[in-house]
Amino acid sequence: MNNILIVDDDTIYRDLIKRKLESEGYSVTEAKSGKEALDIMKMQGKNIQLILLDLRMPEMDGQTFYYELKNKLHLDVPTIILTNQSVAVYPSDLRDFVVKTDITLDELMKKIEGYFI
Amino acid sequence: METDFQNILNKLYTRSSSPLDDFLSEETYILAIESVFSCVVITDKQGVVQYINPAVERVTGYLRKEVIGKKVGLWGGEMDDLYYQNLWKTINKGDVFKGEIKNHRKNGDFYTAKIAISPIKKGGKIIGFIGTEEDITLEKRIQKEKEEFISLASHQLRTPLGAMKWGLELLADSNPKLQFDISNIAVQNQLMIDLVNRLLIVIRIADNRIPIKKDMVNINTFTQSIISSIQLKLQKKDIILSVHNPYKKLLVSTDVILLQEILLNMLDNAIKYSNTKGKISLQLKKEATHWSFIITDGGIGIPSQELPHIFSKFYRGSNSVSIPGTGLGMYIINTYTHLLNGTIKIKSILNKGTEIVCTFPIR
Repeated sequence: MNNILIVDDDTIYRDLIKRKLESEGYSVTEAKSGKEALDIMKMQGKNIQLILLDLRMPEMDGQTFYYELKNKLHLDVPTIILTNQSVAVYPSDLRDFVVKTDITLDELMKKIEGYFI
Repeated sequence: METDFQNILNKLYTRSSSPLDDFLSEETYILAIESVFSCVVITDKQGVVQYINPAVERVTGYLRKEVIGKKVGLWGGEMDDLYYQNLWKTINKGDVFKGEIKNHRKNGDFYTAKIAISPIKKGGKIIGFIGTEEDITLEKRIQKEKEEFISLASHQLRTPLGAMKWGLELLADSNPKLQFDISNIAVQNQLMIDLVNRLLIVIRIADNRIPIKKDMVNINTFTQSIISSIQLKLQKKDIILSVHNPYKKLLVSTDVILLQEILLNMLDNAIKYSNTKGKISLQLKKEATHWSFIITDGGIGIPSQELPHIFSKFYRGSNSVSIPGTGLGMYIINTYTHLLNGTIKIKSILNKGTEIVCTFPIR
C-alpha cells in the first residue's frame, strides 16, 4: 500500500488531508514537526513513498527537515511542500510547491496520484 | 572659493529684481548646509576632507577636527572593492554617483545611507567633490519589519481560511443534500481567500515591491497552459472559449508571473461576467514592435459612465454587485500592465459584452 507522511503542526490540516487520503486508499503516517518526521523517517523511511511537508513548524521547520533527510539520512523521498506562505524560502530542488488556500483537496489528490503512476 | 560660490549663485538666480535676492546670500546657503539633517561632505580631488556639516558629527560620531584634512572614508570601507571602484570611476568621469551604502559610526555600529556624490568643477576641470548622505537605517528596519508582518499576517489569515476550504470540500462530499448551502459558504470563503491574496499584492504595489524579472517567453505555450488551467471554470458555466492565434511561435520579452496574473484575471472576469453557455474569444496579434491579446466576451458589460473608474481600488460595477468579486482584479491588471510598459484599452456595451485589448512591447 502507498504510504504518505504528512508533516504539519496544524492538527486540523493533518486530519483533513489524512481523511481525504484514506478515502482514496492511501495509508497515512503523521508527524507534528520536522523533528518527529525525522525520527519516523529514521525508523521506517523505506516504507514512506511520499512526504507532504509544511514549512513553518515549531521544533524543526520543513526546510531543515528536508536538509537533514537528504544529507544525514541520505534518503531521497519525493516531497510536496504544502504551506500557507506565498513567499517562502524552500529547498531549491523541490519543484512542487503548493499554497494550501490556492488548491482544492481534489486537485491535491490529482497531484499526489501523479507521483504513483 | 567665495567668488566661485557667488558665481554659482548668480548662474542659478539670474532674476534681477526679485525680492528673494536679498535672502539668497552666501550666508543663507551656508546656514542651510549647516542646519540640514543630511550629511554634507566636501573633499578635494584626492578625497581629502575639506568640510563636513554638523549632521556628519551627529550621524557618524566623528568630530570635525578628527575628520578634516584626512582621507574620506573614516566611517566607510564596509562595501566591497568593486563598489568604491565604480564610485570613483563615475565621479572622476564628471558624473554624479548615487547609491546605497553601509557605513559605520565611531562607536562601531553600522548604518545604511543613501548617498549622492557630485564633482565640483572649475573651468571644466574637477577640483573636488561634494557628497550628501542620508541615514536610512530606521527606514530600512521599518521596511523589514513591515515585510515580516505581512508575511506573518498572510500566513495567519490564510491558515483558517484554507482549513475551512478543505473542510467544506469534505463536508460536501459526504452530504449531497447540503450541496447548495455548502457551495454558497465555499464561494464566500474563496472570496475571503482572494481578498487576502489581492490585498497582499496591493500592499506590495504600494511599496514598489513587485519584482520584475524579464525572460524570453513563448506566448503560444504560455497561453496554452493558462487555458488548460481555466478549463474547469469554463465547463462549470458551459462557456466556449475560442482562441485565434495565427502565429507558430511568438517570442516576447516579459515577466511571466506578472503576465500570467494579467491574463488569468482577465479570462476570469470574462467567465465571471458571461452568461451560462456564453462565448469568449482570445486573440493574439503581433505588430512590428508590439504584441497584444484581445479578450472579447458577450457578458453583462460595463455601464459607459463607469468605465473611467474600473481601474480604481475596490471599485465594482453597479451591475455586478450580485456576482462575487474583490474589486481589486482590474486595479492589479492595470498596474501590472503598466509595470510591463503595456497599455489597456476597454470597449464595452451594457448587456452586450466587453472587449479588452492589452498591448505590450515585444522586447
